[in-house]
Amino acid sequence: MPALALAGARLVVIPLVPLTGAVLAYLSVTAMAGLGGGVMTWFSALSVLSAIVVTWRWWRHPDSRLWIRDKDRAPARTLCAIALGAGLTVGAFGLSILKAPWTGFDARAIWMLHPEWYVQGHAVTVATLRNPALAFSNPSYPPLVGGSVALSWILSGDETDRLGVVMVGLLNAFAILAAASSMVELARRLASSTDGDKRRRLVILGVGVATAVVLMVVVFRVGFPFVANGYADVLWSTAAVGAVAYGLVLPCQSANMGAALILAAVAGATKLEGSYTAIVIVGLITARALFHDRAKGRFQHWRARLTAGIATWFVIGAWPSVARILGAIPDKPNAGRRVGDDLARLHVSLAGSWSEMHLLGVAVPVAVLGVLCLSGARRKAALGHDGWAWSALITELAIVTAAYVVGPGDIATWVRHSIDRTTMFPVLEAWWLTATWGIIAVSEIRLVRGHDSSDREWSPSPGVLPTQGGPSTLPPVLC
Amino acid sequence: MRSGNRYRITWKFVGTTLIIVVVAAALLANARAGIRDTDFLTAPADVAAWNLDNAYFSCLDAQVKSVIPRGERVWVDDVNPRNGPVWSETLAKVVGAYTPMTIRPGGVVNVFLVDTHGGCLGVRVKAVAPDGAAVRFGSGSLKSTTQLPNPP
Repeated sequence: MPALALAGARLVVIPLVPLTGAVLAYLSVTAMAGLGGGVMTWFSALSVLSAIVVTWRWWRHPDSRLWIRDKDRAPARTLCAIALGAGLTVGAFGLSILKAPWTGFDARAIWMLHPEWYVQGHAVTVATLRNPALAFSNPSYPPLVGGSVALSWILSGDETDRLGVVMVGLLNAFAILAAASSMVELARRLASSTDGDKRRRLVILGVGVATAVVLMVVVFRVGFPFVANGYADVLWSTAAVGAVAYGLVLPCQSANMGAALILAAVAGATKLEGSYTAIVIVGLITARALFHDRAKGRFQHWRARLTAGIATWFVIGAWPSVARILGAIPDKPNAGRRVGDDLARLHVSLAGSWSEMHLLGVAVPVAVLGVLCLSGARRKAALGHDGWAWSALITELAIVTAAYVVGPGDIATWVRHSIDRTTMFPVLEAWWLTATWGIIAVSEIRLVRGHDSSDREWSPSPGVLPTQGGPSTLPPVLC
Repeated sequence: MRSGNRYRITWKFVGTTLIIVVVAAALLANARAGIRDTDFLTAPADVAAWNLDNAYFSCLDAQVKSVIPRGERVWVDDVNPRNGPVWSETLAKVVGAYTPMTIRPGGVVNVFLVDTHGGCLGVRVKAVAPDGAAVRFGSGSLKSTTQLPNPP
């Protein structure tokens, strides 16, 4: 219900429902560790509480009911069904990796170990948080994955790593689908902002669905082999990418903000680097919304925007605060004596990042070309400026680089073992930004028809003069 | 048409076409590689290797449970003779899910992985009582001629 209330009835809500459940699992573990009781008890209580809050809101504010708010979305149902079918098919294909019953190194050390403690309740969880012998497992890592796996074990009675890995794989697939759905929403937005040609709209929508599908496969490539071996990096990275797409690229509307903040909460509650990145993304989303309202001269929503942002920060910050209060041992990113001075470590970490970030060689020129050629189309569709999303990407890279530079241990070993995962978000974000420009470019295609009466339906983009001979003399692609 | 507008249209035409071509090529090339990777990981040899890995950990789990009562505080040696330092946390992963661990070996059960014939792919769990007198070895075995897969 919280997902429906925040994001509306549309494609993205299908993956958001289980992801919101995962956030509730995270809050349940946090409450269990801080206040006592069991994970399942807290999960039931929080689920009922959130349902009551949503029902109350729908009752007090009838205009917020999704069946009223989204009544104009009926024509999009076919598109939604096609995109969902395609997305689920690709997701199932990607998860076919689960045929190899792989439980990754960190999955055994961290993500399948924490739920063992959570299912044993408050006392064991608090004891493990304080136990230096378990430092290798980073007990104070955010418990979204651990909480979800613990719940799956409690509900199924099957307390095995295999079920845990499948659970994480499913969460990964839902996060990937949620992020990819932004391309369908983008295409819908661009199609609705173009001139009346129905065939052209269909092309844009088709390209949007195709891009979403291809991007899902690309995530399986970038996230390889961490999609289905119990690692949490794909989950937080794709959730963060989805948060950027809904909160910083798609138009500044409350439903998009709702989807973005849920995804940001998922990213922030999954892994440490995800927490830092999500805090920045939530700040950017809130700032963009406030700037947008100010530019439009609408100030009545500023309090709601600010409250939503702060509430998401509160969710992300809940576990670290509780862990600190309980005296948790600090995370141990890389043990051992610090090797190299800051400059040498900076060099190693930048070289490592670049080895993963070759895509920037494509993404940056495409973004520059896009800004030069297609800014008008972007503004017309009320999409966010590219700079917002690039800020999130650059900030994450800066956070990761700073952690490598000031952190402990042998930088070369640390970078070698982690750089493909710590740079997963910026790599995927670069893919999403590149694909966004691709769809915008396609939306600017004018389909030229022969010398029939329909020629008269052609209309040029604003600011572009028709040629003397009429539309049929135009090239097939024209801005 | 004014030359400025013609230039602008040409520039936009070239830019838009370039974006579409580059983005489509990049996406499709990587998607193709993604499909190939997925196929690669589900090859029968990989499936067999990870099945063996799971069986190895199950075997260690059975051995640990056969020599340590649940709730007993233990100190875990972090060397795995079967796989060397790469898998140094192997035993800690198994024990940490089962019973409390400490960082000091004194006054608690000490647990080691030791070389053996048989056991779990050539290793066995050894538990030494706090007084050092009683030594127990875990029961449970797993044999295979296949190598364990390497961690990523």
